[in-house]
Amino acid sequence: MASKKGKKAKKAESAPRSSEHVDESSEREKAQASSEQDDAELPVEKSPAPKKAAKKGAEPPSKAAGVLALFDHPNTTLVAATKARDHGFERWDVYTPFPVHGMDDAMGLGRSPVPWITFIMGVVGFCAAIIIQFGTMVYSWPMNYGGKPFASWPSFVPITFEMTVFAAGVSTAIGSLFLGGVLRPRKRIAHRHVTSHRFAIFVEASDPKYDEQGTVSLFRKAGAMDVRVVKEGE
Amino acid sequence: MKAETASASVAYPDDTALTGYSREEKGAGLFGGPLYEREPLVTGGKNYKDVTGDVVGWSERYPTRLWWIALSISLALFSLFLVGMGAVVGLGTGLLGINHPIGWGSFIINFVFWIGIGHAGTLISAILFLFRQKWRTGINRTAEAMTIFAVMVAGMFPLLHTGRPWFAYWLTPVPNGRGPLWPNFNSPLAWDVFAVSTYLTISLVFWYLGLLPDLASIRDRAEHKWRRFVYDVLCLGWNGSNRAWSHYESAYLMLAGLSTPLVLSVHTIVSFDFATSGLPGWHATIFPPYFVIGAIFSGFAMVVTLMVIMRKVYGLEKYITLNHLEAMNKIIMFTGMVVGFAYSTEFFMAWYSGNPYEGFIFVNRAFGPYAWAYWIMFTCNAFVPQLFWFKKFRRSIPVMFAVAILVNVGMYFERYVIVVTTLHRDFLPGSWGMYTFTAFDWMILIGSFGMFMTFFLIFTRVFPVVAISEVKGVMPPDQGRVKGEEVSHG
Repeated sequence: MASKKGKKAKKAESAPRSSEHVDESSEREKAQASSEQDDAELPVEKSPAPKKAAKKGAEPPSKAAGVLALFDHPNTTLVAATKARDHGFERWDVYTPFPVHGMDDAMGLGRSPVPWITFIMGVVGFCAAIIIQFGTMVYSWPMNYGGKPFASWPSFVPITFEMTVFAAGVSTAIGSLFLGGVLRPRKRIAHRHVTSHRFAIFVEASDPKYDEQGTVSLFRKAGAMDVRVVKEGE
Repeated sequence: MKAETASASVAYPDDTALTGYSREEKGAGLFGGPLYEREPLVTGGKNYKDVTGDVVGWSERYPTRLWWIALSISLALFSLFLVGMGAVVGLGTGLLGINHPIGWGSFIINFVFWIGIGHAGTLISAILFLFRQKWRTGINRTAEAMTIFAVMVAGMFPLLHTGRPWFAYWLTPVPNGRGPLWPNFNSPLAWDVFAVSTYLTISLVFWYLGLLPDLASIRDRAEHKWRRFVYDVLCLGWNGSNRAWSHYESAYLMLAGLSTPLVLSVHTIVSFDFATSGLPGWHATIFPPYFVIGAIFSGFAMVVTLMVIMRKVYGLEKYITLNHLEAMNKIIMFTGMVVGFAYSTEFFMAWYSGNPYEGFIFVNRAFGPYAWAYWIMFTCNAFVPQLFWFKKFRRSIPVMFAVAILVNVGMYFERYVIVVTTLHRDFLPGSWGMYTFTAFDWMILIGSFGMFMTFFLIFTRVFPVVAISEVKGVMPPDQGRVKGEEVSHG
């Protein structure tokens, strides 16, 4: 699921090896691990056998990635999210098929800074339009159109407006996706049904307040229809 | 209370149960007064899972024979368009009916017509969003798609109108070896370039942002790994995380706020193409609002035309209900009256200004050689939508379809009348002329519908035609809830 190449390779060193390649030199293993991390070429003398063994060894030793709680009603999810927030979790998220009203407060998220992006990029677009129009029409090559002034600002209003909207709009969309982590290459798909009809809360095992039994019972009490411990790489 | 809401939704199995009025419950309101409850936006007791299935299901099945027939007709017309454009570019714009007094012909008429069609989509997605009109959720996806395709079609025409489209980049302020020689930013034609390209980009961004969660729904239902991969890439790996939703909703509001003045500005700037010239019939301060309202009017007529067909063919009657169509018909009636008022105001101003040229142009419009076009325009746009005063007609599918088609025809003729009648009678009678369509005018007019329909038909098969996540958001949660044991799945 969230398994990264580097992680896999690191685990390979500690994981119990199943086959006869146990006595392979650890140096080769390390070289392979680092090469996988750096995406560099593999050492030339390496035979395919140890690689296979390393991959086998990379099988996760059933380490928990976190706790997944599934809900069937947005209001139950809201209540459970409030409880999770009050419990003090940090590395967790709620997954919903549509934006649930009040979920930001329930999760304790602050106000989104997206409007600031809109405003700042709007100002940038505005300035760019002013510079381009006055720069070309007044300084670069002033031309006499029917005896009208070179710096005829009223006729620059439409393009200034359009460029303001263009810069603000495009950067708002990209900025919101960036801030929301949508543009991150690897993301957790909590459950296949969270884009259809299920609501999910996932608490990562790396959370400082994480405690498997406690977290499971927290969500059980909060009315989850299903709570399960998700294994690494699942 | 919960049980009441749930039973209320089941009480509306389909369209026939909807009345268009709020449900009255006597004694249930404050201080023993009546409580009015609006009819549900989604009928048939659908839950969240049904919404996903009903909408996405169409992109998972093999297209029907009807779709293939429609696509082949559209493709045939599209190729007609390409041939027409090729001829006009290759041999020259003289192939069209344009001549000495009438230098603006089909290209400008079609451009204004198509860009106007687009305006309804942005109105539905942005302005109705700001006004919290929840019924927009059923139709906004298709209306926005219509906007994008209409603007794409519209963009072809000014490009061809330049005569040498390969020099179209001269319209942009790129540094060049000609001086550098810059575009004239005092010219409304240069404003048009910025307005239309900004409009297309922002509409596309807005539409795509809305599509992301729904494309993720398709991905998560996909059985085949390639299908899953393609939609995973298209939805940028959307996973429904609330941290993403939080920023997404904020961006949606910002984009709606930006699109609202944008959509008003686009047709305003298109009208400046006419209004800033010194010609009688064009040189009027009423032009910007008159063009904008006309654009919304024609756009809604196009949305109704498409929706009436689509809801039937794709079985979406439970999502795009008669109440949705009625709401759109009310907008058509209102904007139709504003358009009719604008026509009358133009006449009044021509008389009141005391300008003989202005007066002549308007008398000539209504009673001259192009009176037939003028009266088609006036009847279709100002009189026909008056039928919608009657609730029975607002809720009748055949009536609204006929009215929508007539409005489309009327709005085409509005642009025809504006362009042709002003130009064909110049100040000097020596340079008077007439405008007649050649075969190439017909080719690009009919062909442009082919281009539009081709894109639209492909859209309906590949993307979700109803904004799934937004419809779910306006459903009562007790109706949408899917109870039952979860199948264990990773």
